[in-house]
Amino acid sequence: MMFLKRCKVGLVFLLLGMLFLSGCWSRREIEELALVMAAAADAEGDNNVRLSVFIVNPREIGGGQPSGAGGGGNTNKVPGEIVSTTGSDFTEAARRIEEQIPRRLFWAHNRVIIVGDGLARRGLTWLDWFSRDRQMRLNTPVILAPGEAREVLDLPPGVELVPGEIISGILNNHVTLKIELKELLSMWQAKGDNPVIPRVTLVSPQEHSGSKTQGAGGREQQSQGEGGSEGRTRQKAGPAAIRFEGAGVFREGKLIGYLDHLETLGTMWLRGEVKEGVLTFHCPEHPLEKVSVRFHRAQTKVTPQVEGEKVTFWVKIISEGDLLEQTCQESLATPEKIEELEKTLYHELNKRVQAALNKAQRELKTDIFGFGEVLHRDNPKFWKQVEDNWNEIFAGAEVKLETQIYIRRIGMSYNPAGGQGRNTSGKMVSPGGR
Amino acid sequence: MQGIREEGFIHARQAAILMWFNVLPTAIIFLPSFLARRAQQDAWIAVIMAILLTLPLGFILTWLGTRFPHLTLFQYSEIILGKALGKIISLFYLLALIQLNALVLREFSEFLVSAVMPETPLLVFTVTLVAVAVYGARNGIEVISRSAEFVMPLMVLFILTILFLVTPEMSLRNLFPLLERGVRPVLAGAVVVLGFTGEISLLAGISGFINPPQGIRMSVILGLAGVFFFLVLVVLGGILVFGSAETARLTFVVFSLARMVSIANFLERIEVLFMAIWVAGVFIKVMLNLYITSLGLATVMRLTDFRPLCAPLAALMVALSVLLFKNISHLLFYLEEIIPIWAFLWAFGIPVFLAVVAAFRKTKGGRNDVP
Repeated sequence: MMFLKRCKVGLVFLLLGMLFLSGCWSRREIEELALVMAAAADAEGDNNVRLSVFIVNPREIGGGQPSGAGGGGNTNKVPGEIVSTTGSDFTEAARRIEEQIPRRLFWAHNRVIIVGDGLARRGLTWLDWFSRDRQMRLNTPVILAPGEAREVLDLPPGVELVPGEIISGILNNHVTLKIELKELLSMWQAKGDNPVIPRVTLVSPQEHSGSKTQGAGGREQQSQGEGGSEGRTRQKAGPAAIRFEGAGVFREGKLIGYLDHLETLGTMWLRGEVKEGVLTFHCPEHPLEKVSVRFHRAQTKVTPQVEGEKVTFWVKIISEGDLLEQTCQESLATPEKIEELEKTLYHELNKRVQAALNKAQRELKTDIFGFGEVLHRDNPKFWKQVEDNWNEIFAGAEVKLETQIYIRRIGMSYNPAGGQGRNTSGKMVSPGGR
Repeated sequence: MQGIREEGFIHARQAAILMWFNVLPTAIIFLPSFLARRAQQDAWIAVIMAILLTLPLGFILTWLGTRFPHLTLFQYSEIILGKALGKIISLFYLLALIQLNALVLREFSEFLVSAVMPETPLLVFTVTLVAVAVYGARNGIEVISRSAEFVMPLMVLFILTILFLVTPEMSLRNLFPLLERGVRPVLAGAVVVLGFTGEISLLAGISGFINPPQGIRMSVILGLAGVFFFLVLVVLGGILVFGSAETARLTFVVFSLARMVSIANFLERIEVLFMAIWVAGVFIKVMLNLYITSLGLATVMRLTDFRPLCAPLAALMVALSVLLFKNISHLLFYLEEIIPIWAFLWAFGIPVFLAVVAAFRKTKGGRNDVP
């Protein structure tokens, strides 16, 4: 009986298989697809757009090591190709890409959307296609590139082979803001928030590897025919790497300014986007020496306070970190010193936060921290009066910072390298209990 | 064996599962977006509010079911109202059912075409689904409820899995401020929910099979609890992940939710599996609707067998599903603006009317009183 029953259950699954495993009408075999791993959106001319995509070469990505990276041989094997076209909008441009490649574009594996400055200044409305097309994913990160975004696609293969993986890998290091398409869209739609998108800088080969000789990786330069702007680009002189530095600020859906590195860090703290980070500052008693503290967790709490027409935001940052490096010859591992360090950390953090605040309030007059939405959640009645000119009111709002920073651990050594600690007899100082 | 065209018994639990399938498959796809458009971040409150508004219907279905044990709506409408008027009411109800099933078919195929296979003609999906549904419906209520019992755990598992896997993307602050614009937008949202949850009225079409008849109370309680639990969960999931503005902008929120799943670059792109299970869910719903329609028409027309009606009615539904709506905007507008009023007329109106008349005339009935 049990056997029969099992047979029946098995049969049901077989029948289900018939339903779900059979071919379908809109079937596309993987050999017919051009997998887009990174897309770059640029403005072209007065009213047109340029779409550039990086399409992987599955034969290269699939197995083995990348060829051409080691010996610098004359192989044609590349991890993929860049195709770029223009059109009056992105759907048209994407269609025109398919005129140039033997496969259909497949977008579901797109790792990153790179927006060029020019297009960003024109406005974010151009991103509609990236959320409407059914193959697009809302968790694709969006980044901003100086000048032409398509230059970023020219990244040479390194540890990762394709630019999409390189960029998304860096974003996952938590070193900068990571704004996904869905976050960007809701930041843009909310009246009490404005989009900030991380910005990349192109790094020359020398700068990237730190070497003085050019072409360390043996990059070949294959100049292509005439009209370099149109058509395929296999590999040409490009950046050696990218670095995330700063961010672009949008107001009413248009790029209006940039944050530098410090201001971006401050923005991350104020938005509560910090997952980990490093703060480096001077030793308390030796202003030429350095101390670094690394944070593993951080929490930002913003509480708005409304008095009449005056809005004050109390920002409370709670964070925990470890001592990671010190160059001063004095043990910082005593409870008193740690406390002293914790106080210094406040100033260091405040420097970042104030930099971001100054930029946003004085210069850009744009709420890039989502404080408006905090107020909206906290005090809907007051919010209704101010929502239509929130950015102006935000510029006049007062922000007060309060930090609770703890240094919990001191790493693997107690005394500084080569240092004697307090005890000069050569005996180790016993760790003070905490 | 006059009157009832079918033999068969279902448990109270099975009836509850069928109620669940009457509402959930289509509601989870379309409802969150409508609600976010009307009630913003309070969409989930609108669902809870709709419970209170659906409860009276559940109560009336229970009352009718226990007062007329072993009978379906098409039979007791004739006992309550007399032969002629009863038949007219039954036919009106049947027309609404035909139209409802056409709507469900269109929702189903429109979603598949927009989200997965844009090149495939709509009819391919509709016809394949209906062909299997005809076969299922001809097999009777017991087969339908057993297949529902088989599909439900899968669907529950998938909804819960997806909601669990997108928890990293959720942010609780999307829910606040509560009741920002007062109660009115929430009520407006609750009305849209009623358009979907009103479909539990279909229980009246199968209540005669519940054995023992008193079990219908349990069915209604379990069914409503299940429906609202999952509706609230899905709507909450959409708002928590996307925020109300983005939820309102998305056409198919649950599908987008499934697409958000990405665990360590490894567990992702599970939306296709979700889609397969969802298709099975819609299949149960279409099959049940088709069964009730055929059985009802056979009862009204005093046929000895409902089976010959299945295929022609299915063909009618397929044709209507194509003819009724020009495009998806038309369909969405209909779902959001017209269905609530229309559902109020047939899904709420008819059982309430029958109950009021039955109470007034003090009619009671059982299997032997079938005219």
